[in-house]
Formats: sequence, structure tokens, C-alpha cells
Amino acid sequence: MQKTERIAVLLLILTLSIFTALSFYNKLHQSRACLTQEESLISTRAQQAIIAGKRVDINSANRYALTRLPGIGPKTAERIIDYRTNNNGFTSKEEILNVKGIGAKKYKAIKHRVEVDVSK
Amino acid sequence: MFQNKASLKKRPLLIAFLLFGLGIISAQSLNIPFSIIAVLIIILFLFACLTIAKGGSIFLFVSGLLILFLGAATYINSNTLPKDHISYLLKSPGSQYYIRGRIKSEPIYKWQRWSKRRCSFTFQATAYKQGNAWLRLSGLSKAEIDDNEIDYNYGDDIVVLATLKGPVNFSGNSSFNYVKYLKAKGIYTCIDIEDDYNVLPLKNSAGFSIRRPIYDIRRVTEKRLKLYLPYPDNALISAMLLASRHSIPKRIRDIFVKTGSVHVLSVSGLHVAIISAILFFIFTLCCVPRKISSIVIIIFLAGYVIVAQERTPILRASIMITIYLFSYMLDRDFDIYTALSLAGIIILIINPMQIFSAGFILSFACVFSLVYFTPKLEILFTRRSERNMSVNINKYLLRVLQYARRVLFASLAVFVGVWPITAAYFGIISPISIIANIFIIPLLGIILSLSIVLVCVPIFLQPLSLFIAYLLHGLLEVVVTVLTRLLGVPFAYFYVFDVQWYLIVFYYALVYMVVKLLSDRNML
Repeated sequence: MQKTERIAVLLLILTLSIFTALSFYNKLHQSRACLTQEESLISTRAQQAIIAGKRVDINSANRYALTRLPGIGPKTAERIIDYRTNNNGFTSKEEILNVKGIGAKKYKAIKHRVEVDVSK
Repeated sequence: MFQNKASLKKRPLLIAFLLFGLGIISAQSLNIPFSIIAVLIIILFLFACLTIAKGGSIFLFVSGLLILFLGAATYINSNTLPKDHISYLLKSPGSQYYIRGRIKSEPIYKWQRWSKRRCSFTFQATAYKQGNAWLRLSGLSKAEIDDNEIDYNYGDDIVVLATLKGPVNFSGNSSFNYVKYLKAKGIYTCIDIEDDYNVLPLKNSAGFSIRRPIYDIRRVTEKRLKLYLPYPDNALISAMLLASRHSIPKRIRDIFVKTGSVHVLSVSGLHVAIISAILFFIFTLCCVPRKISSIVIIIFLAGYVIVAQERTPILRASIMITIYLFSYMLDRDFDIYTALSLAGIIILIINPMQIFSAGFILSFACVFSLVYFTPKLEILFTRRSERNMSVNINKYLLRVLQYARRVLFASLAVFVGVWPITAAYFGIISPISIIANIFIIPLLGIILSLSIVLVCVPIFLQPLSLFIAYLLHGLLEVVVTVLTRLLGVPFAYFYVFDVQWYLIVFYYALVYMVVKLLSDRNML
């Protein structure tokens, strides 16, 4: 091994060692940084969309909340409210199929977005 | 190669690779603090500086020790989690968080009871919501969406509402440690997502990512394969071209596993080499200067590593081919052991835990066996009488026979070097793999070439696409049928249990002694 090669080997080892040490030090001493304003805004919008898309309790939701479900317009929402008033609320999700205007296809689209809270 | 010291001196990177790996293994078993390693490195470095002028064996010894300790330091560093690591959120397990991140693996969909589908993937966390602020987060998690209907893609940026928990070992299977398996992949946490309504894909991520167009190419490729090929042909080609194995039927996967040809279904070094060769051939046909085509192939390989989910064998092969192309461009000699060692060092610097994974060990053991044993087997089994006989045979027939013989020796060499590892990790030994690979490797080249043409043919040339799809269907049918027949051969494969590591070491020592004995008698 020539002298230049030996120097190259040592420089390579030194670089890797410094890199490893800095990485280790950084891991131990870094603090939790915030996202940039733009990235935070995108993330917050996504979070709000998740909250907005969460399940709707068909025993307590108002007309506006029900119309956020896919395929449910103001008229169908009104029928859902009428049904639960006349029948002391829903006892299961499937019972929504008894409401006029909600068939198997529409039920499949909304079944994951509705829930039934019997206590209310 | 290892019979004389001169050949080892020619390959210092091979020794460096072995020492670096040894350092990692030692650090794992000895549990030494980073500060001690750092002090030792500083002392050894100063000592090496003092001996640099003289050189000689003392300098080499100190440099070797430095590399060994550097391996240990890299291991400790990789096992030290940063303060923004997702696993720190596990202090309050069961808590729900809004987490932002990226899907880092091909999502796998599995049907559960009550017609429910479960989706699982590796999730790279980038931020989470605490109070009103989004704080940076790092680290990988195993994510599962319990009630899943939407298809997600590798590379999607998403925000999820998830419950965090630590990984748990499977009950029943005593030999497989799931927690360790995940740790080797850098995964320390699992996140449970109730359903698709708790996942929101981000369409307009801030900033530009070079990965985005590469992920798009992958998606388009998958769509085209699904468009032209029936199931399970599209699943098989997706596995061979894009390393997307999840949709292959269990029956077909079992056939490949038992015949020892499962490497065909996961993009390996062989695939990368074949694809690079195809590209080189196309560039040569188009009269592109070789240096330019080399640069284009290097860029292509960098993209292909991302497309194929950055798996170790692909990374290894891509680094080796890149070294080869660079040595070609710079008019330098190419030494495969040096390239293999450099690839190993790079992979271990990126993730030292890879040294404990089956993928890493098999990938390196395969290439090493191929390069080391194949020429020796050729010399050992090629008799002078055969050489004389070849004069009387037709020229083309002779070429075919020579090719078949070379593939046979290559297949045999890989089996000799790799069977103890497959026995230890997967509990199966497949002697039939020697014959299966002779048949399947030449076909793989044709299948990959046709698949690339199928993906690249413009949409208005539909008759050509359909013709290629028809050919591919026929070839895959032949592959599966022949492998199924091979499974019927007596002792084609057998299962083994609890293979002890000392037996494996004994086997390799025995092989080394046999090779040395034959070399001493001038038979190799």
C-alpha cells in the first residue's frame, strides 16, 4: 500500500467516524421541530377532513349532519329523522334500510360512515 | 481465491467488509457503550497517523481495528433512536394521534371474516399533531387498516388517525421472532387504523419529490399489466418486474418455494442484471455511445431501486453494476469481489441491522457462491476427453451444450453455498432447485424482455401488446407446469427443523477444506 493510499484510507475512516459521531450526537440532543407553515396547513386540512368524514350517529344527528353522508339529500335526511322520532330511534345500523329512499346500494355506501348510539 | 495471501492483499475492501460486519455482530452481542468505542477509535486513529509514514503490517492491523470499531459504532448509532422517533409516543400506548407520513411498502390486502378486508403496509412517519402544532416525527411503523375498501399505493402521502402500540410476537411459532424481524427492518411500533375514514391521502404535498414521478411510473406499469394479462399472470409479472408479490396465489408461490426458485418472484440481482443487459442491448442497437448508455443505465438503476421498494438484493446488484459501468467508463479493471464488498459496506452503513436479515445473507451468499464455486466446478468436472469430443459436434449444438453446462455449474455452485442458509432461515432444502434453475433462468430473461416491451409498447399498438401478452401467458404456463412436474421427483425437497449454527459453520469449514485439498492436488 502506497502512502497516498494509506492517507486516503485514513481520511475515509475519519469521514465515516465523524459522520457517525455527529449523527449519534444529533439523535441525543435534537429537539422536536415544527413543520413549516405550508406543511402544517396541509396537514391540518387533512385532519379536519378526517374529522368531518367521521361517523355520523343516526340517532342524534341533525338534518345538516345527515346530508353529509353520501347519497343522502335533505328529503332522505328528513325521512330518517321522521323514522327515528316515530320508532324511538334506531336500534341497529341495518334498520336504516326501513327508511324510504335507502336501498341496499345506498346502505353499502353509507354503512361505514354511520353509527347507532342507543343511549341517546 | 483465499488460498494465497497475495490475492487477499489485492482485495482490501473484502477484508474491510468482513471486519465491518464483524464489528456490527460484536457490538450486538457485547453491548458496549458508544463513548468507549469513540475513545478507542480516536486512540487508534492517532496511532494510525503515527505509523502512516512507515506503513507495513502495523498500519494495516490498526486500520483493520479501526474498521472493526467503526462497524460497532455504526451499529450502536443505528440502534439509538432520535428524540423525534415515533416509538417515543409509545410511552402512552393506546393513545390516538393524527400522524402524517408516507406509505413505504407495497400495501398488502387480506380478506378477513365477515367479508372484511385488512390492509397493511410500512408507514414512514413525518409529523404528528400535538395540541395545535404539527411536530416532526421520524421512524417506521407497521400500519394496519382494519376495515379497508380503498386501494392505497406505495409512495402515497397520507394523514391518519391511528392508535399506537408496540409489536407483539406471534404465539405458537417458537422459532420466528416477529419483534426482531421488524427491528431488523427498523420498525419499532405498530399503528392501528380503524377504517378508511381515518385515512386521508394528500394530493398536494408541499415540496417537490423526485420519488413522485417514479411512483407514478410504477402505478402505470401495474395498470398496464392488469390491462393485458389475466390473473395470476399479471401478479407473477408484477412480482418479477416490480417486486410486488402480495397478490400471487399461495398455490403458485408454494411451487416456487419448494423448487427453490422463489428468487424469481422477488426482484433480485439476477433481474437487475438482465434488465441492465436488455437496456445495454437496446442502446447498442440504437448506436448510442457506450459511455452515454452507461450513464443512462446508472440513472435508470437508481430509479429502479425506488420502484422495487429499495430491497437489499436490488440495492446490492445496482451498486455492483454501477461500479462495473464506472470501471468501464474510467478504463479500470473490474473485480467482482471488490464490487461485492463495496456494495456490502454501503448497505451496512445505511442499515447495519441488515446483516441479520435473511435477504442480505442470501443475496451476498448467492453471489459469492456463484463467483467462487462456478469456475472451480467447471475445472473439476470438465475432462480432457470431453474437450476433445467437442471437436466432432456441430458448432451450434456445441454452444448450446456449453451454455447448458455453464448454467448447470452456476446452479450447482449456488446450491452448494446457500442450502444451509435456506435450511436455517426457512426450514427447507430443495435439491431440485439445481435442475429448476437451469430451466427457469434462461426463460426469465425472455419473460422480462417481453414484459418490458409490453409495458413500453404505445397504447395504439394494441394488437402487438395482445400478442406479447399471449406469449407471456404461454411462457408462464410452461414455467408453472414444469415446476409442478419437478415437484413430483423423489426427494425434490424436504423440510428440516432447528438447524444449529455450529452445524452450518462446520459445513462451510468442510467445504473450505475440500476446496483447499483439491487445489493442493492441482485439481482446481
